Amino acid sequence: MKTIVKGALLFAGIISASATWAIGTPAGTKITNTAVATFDDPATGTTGVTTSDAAELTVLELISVNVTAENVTPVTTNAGDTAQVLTYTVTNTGNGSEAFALDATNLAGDQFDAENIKVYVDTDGDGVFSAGDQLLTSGSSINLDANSSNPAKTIFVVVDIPAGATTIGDTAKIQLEATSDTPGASTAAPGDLLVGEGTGVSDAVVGNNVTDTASATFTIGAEPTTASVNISKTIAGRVDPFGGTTDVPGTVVTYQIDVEVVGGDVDNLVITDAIPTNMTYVAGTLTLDAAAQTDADDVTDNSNVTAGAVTVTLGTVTSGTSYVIQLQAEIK
Amino acid sequence: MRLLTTLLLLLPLSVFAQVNLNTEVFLVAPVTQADGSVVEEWQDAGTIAPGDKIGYRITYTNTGSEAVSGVVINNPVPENTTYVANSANGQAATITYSVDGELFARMQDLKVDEDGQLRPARAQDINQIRWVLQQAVAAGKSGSVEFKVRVN
Repeated sequence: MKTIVKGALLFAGIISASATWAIGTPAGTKITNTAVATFDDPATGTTGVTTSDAAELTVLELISVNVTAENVTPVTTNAGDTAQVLTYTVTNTGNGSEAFALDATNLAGDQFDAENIKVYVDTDGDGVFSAGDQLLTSGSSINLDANSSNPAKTIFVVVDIPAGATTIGDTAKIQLEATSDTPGASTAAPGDLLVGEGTGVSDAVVGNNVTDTASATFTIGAEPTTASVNISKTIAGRVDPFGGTTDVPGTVVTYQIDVEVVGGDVDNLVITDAIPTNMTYVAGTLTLDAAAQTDADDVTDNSNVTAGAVTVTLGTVTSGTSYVIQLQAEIK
Repeated sequence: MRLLTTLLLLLPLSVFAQVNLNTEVFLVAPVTQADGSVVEEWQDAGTIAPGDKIGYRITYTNTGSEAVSGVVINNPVPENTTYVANSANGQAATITYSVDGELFARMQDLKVDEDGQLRPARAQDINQIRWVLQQAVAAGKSGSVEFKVRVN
């Protein structure tokens, strides 16, 4: 008795800080409670000990599931695009091994509906929709073991965008629903007992989320631009010091650079041409679309010649525009 | 006294125990009453699942012919459950708690060393409960103590 009182006056205990709390005690776990009493035994004058019977309970299977949409912002897509992907995670938040049926559907309250909706399981577990991922046929389900190291699976909802969905900003909301496959679970209320339907234990108890949903959104974005600049350089002519066309020191070569913008507008287009080694730019010969350009870096035009290079700044150029740049250089 | 000695020789050891313990387990469920109020009821623990609240009632009985003093009841919090704060009860009993099964103290005096920092113990830290009965238990008398846990 004395020791106990002393013990009670002590004030500090130590526990490991790494106490972790499992989400759910696995189905089938037995919880036992045993009390022990000590007392001053008047028969023997010593301390008697007595132990209670163990009160035992078996934890039933709790059926619970969570669906989370991984695309928190709308996924941009375009009319007519195929195999567009939304990513979800389905987690068994119960305490047993349970099969869940998955169903992806168009939701109301948006501007268009996706077509050809398919559900895939991320079979290879890389989190990215790829060829090896398994198509989940209608009516089939996935099995998730809450007590395994990975009680969750990544699910891809893959759809086609209708050709008519051309209005930028229009959205399609798609919902993924997971529902326990246990008979009677989908229509039961939380707390209901499903006799004989437990996994690893006789019965199952319906949790608060015997079914769960999450939705994600596609939005129509601007058509992607595929603008490109075609550029080619040719020798338009040459004159040697003797009036011929041989390449000897003193020959003046006329270079032509053809520039064409296709597929979309471009900004900040700058053409730079390095003067070849052993050649010298012939001052005042730079032309843009046959218009003479100043060699100086000035505001008269957007051309600039330095010792080694010719620069023509074209800036914003609309699709379909083309330019012809010419300049002369002399072989040293 | 001679009779007792004879008995001591003849009967198995367990008979000497003057105090019997009996543990009962209940499902603690909120039940809406006729007047709309919600009262926790201790029901038969037919089925349990994670998240359920369980009540344990430990009944002690002095089965001997003499009063027994110094009765101390110890009950570890069952594995896979978490003690529910302030749920331990017992008439005329001093209740202390332990986080390591060795040192027992009042809840407000218990401290826990977490990452080198001392902080007050919380209900989920408790792994053992102790009731020290303040008075002797008369022959033939019984009483009970109780506590609640939640299934992890």
